[in-house]
Amino acid sequence: MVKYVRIAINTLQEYFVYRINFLFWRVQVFVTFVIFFSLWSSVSAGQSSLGAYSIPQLYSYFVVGYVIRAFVFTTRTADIGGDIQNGNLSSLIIKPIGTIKYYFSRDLVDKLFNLFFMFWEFLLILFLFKPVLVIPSVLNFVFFLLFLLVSTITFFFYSLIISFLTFWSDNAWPSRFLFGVVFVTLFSGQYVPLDFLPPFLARIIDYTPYPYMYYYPVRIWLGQTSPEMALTHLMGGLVACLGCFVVAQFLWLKGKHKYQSYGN
Amino acid sequence: MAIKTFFRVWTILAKNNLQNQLLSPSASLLFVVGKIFNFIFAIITIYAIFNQTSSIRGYDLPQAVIVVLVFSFMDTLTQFLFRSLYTFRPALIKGDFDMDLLKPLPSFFRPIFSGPDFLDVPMIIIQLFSIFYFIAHFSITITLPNLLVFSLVFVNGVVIAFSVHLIIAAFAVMTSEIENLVMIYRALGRAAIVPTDIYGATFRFILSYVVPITVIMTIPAKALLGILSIERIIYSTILTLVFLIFSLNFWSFSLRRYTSASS
Repeated sequence: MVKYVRIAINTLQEYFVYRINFLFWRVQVFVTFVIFFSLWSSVSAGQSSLGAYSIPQLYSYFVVGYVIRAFVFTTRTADIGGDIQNGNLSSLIIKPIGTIKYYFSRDLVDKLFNLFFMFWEFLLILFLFKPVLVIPSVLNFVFFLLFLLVSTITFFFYSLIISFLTFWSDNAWPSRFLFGVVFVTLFSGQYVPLDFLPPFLARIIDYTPYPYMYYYPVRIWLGQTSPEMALTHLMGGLVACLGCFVVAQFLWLKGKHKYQSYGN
Repeated sequence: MAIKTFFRVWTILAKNNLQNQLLSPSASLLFVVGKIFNFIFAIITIYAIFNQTSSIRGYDLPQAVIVVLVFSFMDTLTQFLFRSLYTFRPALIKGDFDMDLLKPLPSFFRPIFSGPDFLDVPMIIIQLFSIFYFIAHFSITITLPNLLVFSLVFVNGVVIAFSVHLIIAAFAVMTSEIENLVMIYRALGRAAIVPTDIYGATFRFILSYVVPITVIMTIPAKALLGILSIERIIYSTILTLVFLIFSLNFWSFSLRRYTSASS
């Protein structure tokens, strides 16, 4: 346990070495929020509702989504692909530490660090935009927290899967770009609420793990699902989580045998 | 003569880059598929918005679709031309940039022009085809004056995109930070998925004067639609000149402070 705490501390120190880098990263995240919030504010201007969303619900969709993004989608598991590609993984797997636990420690610090900044940015959002937000019922809030936990774990394993694909390719970034950036941002509902999409497309996306990482947790916060539906979605999230875990484990076991440690 | 050399070197490097990308076809395919998804989803987003409302601050569906198409096209084209900025940091950190400075080429050649991204070419073709298709689909009339104005503001857009990339490169020379600056620029660029004049005053000001996404993406679209005022044409041209002069000076300023990060 102590060694993983040490890894976490080292990771934290890395952030203080590359301060500007991290600052710009947060600025970029904040700017993305401002754009989509402003876009939907403009679209909804002068209207009392948009689709199934009242205006406070629409604002909450993106503001609460900002919190979810900091919880769920911040990760250091993307580093694994690069480590496989350039051979750095070799030095890790010969050390007396669990490789996945190593990345999990780094992941945890990354989340905590991002959450710290997200807190202040969240206050800034409230100050700048003064959005009227929907406050969930106690039951929905509990469901939301549970979902957030499940989504975070799901994305951790999902991101591991993408990184492990590098065992079978010579470049980590293409699969990360397609599955980790494009698919996640488009299909999780970060840009557009999924029920605004054509029904056939929304139905297809429903069979993927993406809505469980963002869309359903927000809808539960907004009170747009009954407790029974919330429970169903949570079960769906657990299945997605389990699926990602199994696939990640499988790829890790297979990938280790495939690993050739080329690079530097 | 200098321009001829410039293009000759660019062509050689472009060929090398293309060969590199063809070495890993599966990786290239994943990139192209990702870009296609992004493009299709941008159009779907506009349709999704107009499923909920009949207009966005005076813009109707055909206008919004043309705006998103021109936005995608300009975004892809500038990425194709200036992609090498994304890989400039390793050259800076390793000290390879020292060698580039010795070459008889403009000092900004390496960070801006040395690696055109051919994976954007299929997208450029698809987007051009889509623009023609939707113009015909919505029966939008493109007059010769509109086309001439579009050509002018299109060139302005490309030049200003070059200037923004050069400013980022100059900043990188001083701080060795690039990726997230580029990401901020690209995040701001996403605002042009709709006409930037629908945004609030502060944000509109940022998009018009600080990082002029409006000039790069929205103004060409409005020119094509024939809804661009003469003031906006003048604004686009003047701002392009200001940004070009500022970026070249800022680049020279940063080079004077370059200390070679590595050996």
